Amino acid sequence: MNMRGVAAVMARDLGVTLRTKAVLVPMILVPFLLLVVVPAMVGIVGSMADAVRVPALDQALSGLLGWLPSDVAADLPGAGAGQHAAAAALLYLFAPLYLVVPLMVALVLAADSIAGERERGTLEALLLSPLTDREILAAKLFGAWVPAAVVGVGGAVLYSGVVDATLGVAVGQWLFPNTAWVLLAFWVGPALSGFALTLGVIVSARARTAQGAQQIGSIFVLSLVVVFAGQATGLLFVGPATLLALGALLWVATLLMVAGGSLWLARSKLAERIG
Amino acid sequence: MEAPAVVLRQVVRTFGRQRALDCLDLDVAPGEVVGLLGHNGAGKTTTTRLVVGLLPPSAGQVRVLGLDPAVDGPAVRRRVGVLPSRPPVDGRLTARGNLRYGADLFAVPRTGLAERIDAALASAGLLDRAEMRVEHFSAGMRQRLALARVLLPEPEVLLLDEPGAALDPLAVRELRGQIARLARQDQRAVLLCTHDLAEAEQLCDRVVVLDRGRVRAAGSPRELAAQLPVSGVEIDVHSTDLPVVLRLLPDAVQTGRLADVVTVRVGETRRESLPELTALLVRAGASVYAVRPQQASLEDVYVALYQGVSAA
Repeated sequence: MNMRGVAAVMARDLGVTLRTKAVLVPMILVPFLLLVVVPAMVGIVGSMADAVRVPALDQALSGLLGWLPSDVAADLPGAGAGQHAAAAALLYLFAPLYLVVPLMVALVLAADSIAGERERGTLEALLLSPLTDREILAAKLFGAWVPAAVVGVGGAVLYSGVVDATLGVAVGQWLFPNTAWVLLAFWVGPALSGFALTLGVIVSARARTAQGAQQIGSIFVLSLVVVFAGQATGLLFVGPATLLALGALLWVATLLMVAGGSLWLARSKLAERIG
Repeated sequence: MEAPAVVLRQVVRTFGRQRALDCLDLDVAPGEVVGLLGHNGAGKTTTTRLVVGLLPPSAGQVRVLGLDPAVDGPAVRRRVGVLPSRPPVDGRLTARGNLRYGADLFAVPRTGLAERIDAALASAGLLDRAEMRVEHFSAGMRQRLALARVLLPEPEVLLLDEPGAALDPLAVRELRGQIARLARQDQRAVLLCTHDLAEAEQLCDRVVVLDRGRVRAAGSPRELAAQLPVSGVEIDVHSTDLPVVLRLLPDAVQTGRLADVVTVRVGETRRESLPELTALLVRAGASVYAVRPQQASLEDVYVALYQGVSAA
């Protein structure tokens, strides 16, 4: 394998991503909102909720906790209903929202991978290089997967820190790390990134513009909204076993798509679409 | 002449039901510049893409440096430099970054690479803008940078698609000199796709005129031109003989005078009839100083071909 060529494509894509505001801003802003601002607010409000006892609120929160699966309620001795509710939200309800981050990063980068090259007129140069189809595919996939995985894992660490620094301090107990979130950050998140960006690169290879590819790819995010709704209503419980299975499924699907990569990322097909 | 570096035999390429190339035969030898001429959609770009293995032929045989591009694509592309019609430079990188990126893709040896990149930038006249992002470059600067990038891996075969487009006249002249040097001195095989017939006439050893994927004419510009009638003849005679000339050649028009010598021009004339024409004037007592047939240009050949006049 022409590792130097593959590394050159990855380094260029990554370097350009870091210098392109239109790509970089959402990659920072969305994770910051979802993994810092929102958990900080929930953690702070949750930690203060029990200091101001409102019977009606207590009753509502107890009702909410009773509605959730029993596995979800964190064992927090001495914590009130408000803190329990905040812990349930941060540890359980927000899990699908967290997955939006690695998914979004992967989709943005994947959408730009081929369609962006075509838009900028650089795709032909890449196709005219000695890189094989598989090397181009590897460069495009790893070039997008690495930042998506880094942002995903980094985001989970940040999220854990924010929750422990707010709610954890208030209840006198570290809420992170826990098994489900370790699986989310290191197993499901990277698998989802891999799956989304492989599919995203396929879409990107067929889309005329990166924006078009992003729009098609964003349909993915809807699936997470459905999971979030399932979580919130207690219909769907995403525990460690489910996460293990989900991650495995995503990895297998990703590997199958990559194995078939030469079919959908064939040079001749891409060349025909250059015009 | 050496064995051809590029060989196409009876190559057919279809896109759906449309035949982009129809039984194309083409050779390009090292040290030779072959021009590929034709209207848009004639099959020029498809031909270059077949040569580098970007597209496989639907039928026929393509060999580049003895390799089949459809099978040994990476090996072929490592030894072939292609300058597409749209300069394939990345606007988000600097000029130096573009060359380094190209060098990495083509695995140009790292030893002395920085110096080679500097030399390439200098030869493109871009050394002082090496750290500027290419999105701020003019079209001509992009074209020069693209050519520098193509030449950096020292390809044995060059496929140039409208290389002079977007360049100013001085840069075009310099580029033509560079292409000629690459072919004659460095023995590169050059396939030049161009609409610029003057460029083709000046640079190409042979030209192939394509029309809807078929070869309409092939040969050296001189050979092709020789198949057309001369577009006119200039005859220098003594001024006192002008009435004789105008009587014998009613279509002749005086076009110049220098002292006692007048120049008259006669329109399109068959080449074979020139000796007879000269003898006619001499027999009538005219002092004929010179007879200059006006050679048909490649442009005349091209126009004639596309107007349906057989030149082959």
